Amino acid sequence: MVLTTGTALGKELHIVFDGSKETDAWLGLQQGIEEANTQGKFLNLKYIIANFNDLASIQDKASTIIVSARSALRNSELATKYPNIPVFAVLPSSSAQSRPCAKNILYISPSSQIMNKVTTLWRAEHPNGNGRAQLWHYTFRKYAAAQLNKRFKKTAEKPMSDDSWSAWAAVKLFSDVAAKNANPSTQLLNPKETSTLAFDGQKGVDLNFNSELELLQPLLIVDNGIIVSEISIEKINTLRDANSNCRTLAAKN
Amino acid sequence: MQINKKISRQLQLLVLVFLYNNAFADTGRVFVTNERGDSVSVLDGNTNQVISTIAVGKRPRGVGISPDGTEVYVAVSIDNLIAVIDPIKLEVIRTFSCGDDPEAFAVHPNGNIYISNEEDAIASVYDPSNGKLIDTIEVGLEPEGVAISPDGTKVAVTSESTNLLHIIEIPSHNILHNVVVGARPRSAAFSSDSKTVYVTSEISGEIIKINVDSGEISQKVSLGDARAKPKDILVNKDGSKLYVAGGRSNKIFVLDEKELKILNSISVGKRVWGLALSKDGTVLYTTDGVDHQVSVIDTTLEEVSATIPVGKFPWGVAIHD
Repeated sequence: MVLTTGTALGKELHIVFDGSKETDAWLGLQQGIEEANTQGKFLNLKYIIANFNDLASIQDKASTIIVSARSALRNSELATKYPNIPVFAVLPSSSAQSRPCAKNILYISPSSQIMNKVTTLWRAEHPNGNGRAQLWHYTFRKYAAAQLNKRFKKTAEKPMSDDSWSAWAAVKLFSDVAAKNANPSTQLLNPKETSTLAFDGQKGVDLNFNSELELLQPLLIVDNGIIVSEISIEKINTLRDANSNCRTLAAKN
Repeated sequence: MQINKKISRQLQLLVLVFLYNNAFADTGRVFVTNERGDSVSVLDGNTNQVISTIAVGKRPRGVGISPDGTEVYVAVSIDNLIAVIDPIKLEVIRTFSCGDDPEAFAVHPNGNIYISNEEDAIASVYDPSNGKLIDTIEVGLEPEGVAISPDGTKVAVTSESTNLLHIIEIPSHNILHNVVVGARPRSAAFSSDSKTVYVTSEISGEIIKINVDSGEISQKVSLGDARAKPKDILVNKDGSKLYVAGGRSNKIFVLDEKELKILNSISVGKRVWGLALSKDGTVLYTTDGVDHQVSVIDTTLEEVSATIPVGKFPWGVAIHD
């Protein structure tokens, strides 16, 4: 791949995907890039998938992100190796405690532990229900979710899942920041910026990262293939572990 | 005999002029699209009573009136068409196809209508007299709000998912400016001198003021209410105030045009969405979706003077005045 920056065709921005191309995350990433380029053509920006070998030759590191659909350990390695590049972790880690605390890892998905707590809470309130917390569901219609689901299905030829939404959201977030800033990656490494992004994830509210760099978002409860409830950010926050490693580190910083 | 014939012809002409003027007279009726009622409620603006409910097709949203007042247009989203209503007879007189998922639109002073086609990422221009497509304009994802400058030289289109306001020249339909605004821009409105355009951004909760010539944001303000998800926006008659429908905040925000300072908020029904201001500027109608009602606001007192139950989930509103 030949990489150039700031060509006559517009500024290029690079997205490195770390994960299998057989996954839903890869499909979500591609959807995100297609939509980012739809926006980009009006703003003279072009989003390109790069690979790790390309990173050395990319001059403009401030316009590059890594989207990781790998393990927490791998995310930690990436964060250490590329300290000035935001690493979007799109798969849920097992718990907040198990996450590496790095200033450049941005967690799109809550931990499995939080998802399970939300599920448990909902089931306690609905003893006859069998609902489970999810980030997304292909039947979601509100807040223009129907349009996103339709676009995704048209391109990917399958319904949008949690992992595909998560990877789509990582790219959308990047393109939203790039539309307003010349150095989007630098902005994404600034906690003041990430805590006030007001990102539109098509979930009806503005989404921002907390001090542990997790994207705060409403969750859906899906029971037998039907969305039966939406759990608010405020309610989910009451279930968080006050003593998680990253929170302690963030407080110290 | 000759004189009698002349008088007769003059009388005939007078009758025709009388009939024409009465047929096209402004009725003061208010047309409200009911998104989930698949209908249009027609209100008598004097009595605040529903005088008719017209079936128009599935998911009617945008509504507007022809410059000569002879026709009311309704975007019927799921049926992919515009329904044309006779404002006197209160019946659908024809329909025409207008691309996928028409949502909001604006009527140009020359009679053409500019429609956002949400799923195609285009704005399309139609001649409603014959339903012919005149042009399509490529815009960002999920285009929604459409506004035409009073001088007829510009159209502004918001694209919700790409956070852009497109300022487009008429008649060339070249995009002059792509302005990055807050998340999920919904609606736009021009100042009376066509030099300024105002935009609401639903997710960021902002009102943004843009210089039309330069395409630069001159001011923006957050409504400062977590529940405020602004949708429709209008400029008052003398241009000194903006009215903003606050969505789930269930309020109309009144802003000072110069500084975008919030002057007042008026409580209305749940999920307030559409706005229409009477020609004399004294009455503001709001569609309160979740309450299935229209609120009528006295703009002098800035108070709700009446609420009118309409169909399911009212969306858009237009006044035949």
